[in-house]
Amino acid sequence: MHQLSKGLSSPGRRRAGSWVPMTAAWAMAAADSPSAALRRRDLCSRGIRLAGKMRSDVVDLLDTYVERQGLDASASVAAVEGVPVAAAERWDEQTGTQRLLENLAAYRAFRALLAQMLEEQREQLGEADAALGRALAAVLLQVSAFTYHLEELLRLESRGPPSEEGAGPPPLPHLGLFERKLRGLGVLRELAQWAVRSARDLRQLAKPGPGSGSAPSLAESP
Amino acid sequence: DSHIQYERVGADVTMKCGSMDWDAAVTWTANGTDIDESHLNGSYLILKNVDLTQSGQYSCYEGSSWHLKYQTYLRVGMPPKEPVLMCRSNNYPKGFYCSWHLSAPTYIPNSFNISVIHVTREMVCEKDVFPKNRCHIRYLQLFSTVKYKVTLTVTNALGKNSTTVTFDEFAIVKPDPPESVVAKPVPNNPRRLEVSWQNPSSWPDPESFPLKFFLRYRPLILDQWQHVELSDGTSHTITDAYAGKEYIIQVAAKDNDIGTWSDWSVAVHATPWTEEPKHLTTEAQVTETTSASTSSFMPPPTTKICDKGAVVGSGAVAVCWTAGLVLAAYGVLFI
Repeated sequence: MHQLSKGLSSPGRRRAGSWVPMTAAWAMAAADSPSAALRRRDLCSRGIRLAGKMRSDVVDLLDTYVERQGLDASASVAAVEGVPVAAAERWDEQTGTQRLLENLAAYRAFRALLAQMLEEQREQLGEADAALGRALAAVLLQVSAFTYHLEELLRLESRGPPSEEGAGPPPLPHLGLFERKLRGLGVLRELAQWAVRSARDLRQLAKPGPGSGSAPSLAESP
Repeated sequence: DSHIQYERVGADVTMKCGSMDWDAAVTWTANGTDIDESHLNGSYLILKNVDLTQSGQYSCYEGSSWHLKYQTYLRVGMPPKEPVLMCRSNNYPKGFYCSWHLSAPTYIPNSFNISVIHVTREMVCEKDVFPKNRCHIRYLQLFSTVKYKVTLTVTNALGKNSTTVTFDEFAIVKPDPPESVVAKPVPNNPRRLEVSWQNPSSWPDPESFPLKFFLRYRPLILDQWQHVELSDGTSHTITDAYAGKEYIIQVAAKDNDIGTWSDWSVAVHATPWTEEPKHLTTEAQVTETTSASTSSFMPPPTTKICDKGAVVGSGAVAVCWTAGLVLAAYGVLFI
């Protein structure tokens, strides 16, 4: 994953591991500087485009997945442990940092879940369904890229990204083949929702002004 | 005592004259008019296979004293058929509204009850003052994959019926059409029209939830529309308008990421700029004339009358011929 992240950095950028540690005061000043604001806006607009492309590819992948796995597209899937849920209450009241942290936690989890799905799909179907495997791998790549993007934005917010906890998603109870297929459906559906949410989060973040990410209150009457 | 009695169209109705015996002498009236005795069975009034015209006030009077013994207001109607229900969010992400109507009238008063369930929660749908058959809900959550389930029950004195719709949060998002659409000619540009519009005022936060737009335009004389999709901005310049032709232009809006297109906006009309007075020339002949002329000669604006497919009809051919002769004469003068 780290290799993937490195490969996606823009030319001339320093690797994440080589950033010089900063004092809090300097970090605050740097975060407010015009160049930091420009960098943030640039990362936000690129992130929004990445989220849009990711959503489009996940929607296509959902169609392929449903067809190849013999599922009913309208099947309800109960919330599964370990799959980040995109639904948010009081979304409009979140700060920019909260948005970034929630997004980062989600995409790190999706990165691990998709890697797991890819492995299971290869074991289950082998080379029989290369198209599904390629589509899964392509989305996994985009999720990794987006994760890196979020980490960069958090650095700009003068709080580095939290370290990744554990080596992957929580260990699963033994799931039969059908349950694994349904779980995969749930993962892709939530990822599609997250891709829409992330674009909105980044637009909030890109708004100028203090406490970027504070939106007009939804509590006003319509 | 006066009261209201609801009966179904086609039903047989028997009215008793209060506590009067069956064999008492009575007179019944409908809206003040005596009812013929053929409709009576003793003191009972019998109305067979009632229809809507028989709604009204029915009164029963004691034979000799003309004391009013009984009065009722008969309302003939129907039990409700399955109502039609739709929900839509034109103010995302604030909330959505649901509106309903009956596919057929019942002719008697109805009451409506709506329930909105999301996950396990019942949400409050606040009824609008106007229109009456509408209510609105605030979103408590955004970006949920769980569907909303809305059930509408309509009840009247003769029965009840209900309908249920389920939908995703994203699927019902449909903005109102763009507002204040304006189309103007561009000076000295005979093939351009400048179109501008505004976001619908009901869309609460276009900065965070930007809209994209679809513009369609055609000359009034043609049926086929041209379409342009615009991912940002609230203006566009049409550059391929037929010179001198009146155009009809409309715009629609959609959230950038989710939902469906709005209805088309109110149509606006505009005609591209033309130089006064109008000259009828072809493009080829303008080029020929220009190359032979002095630098101060201004080529007249091109019309599309002579272009193939622009106008159908023998009149256009006659115009082309005339224009050709005029320009040939001009060309001779300048050579």
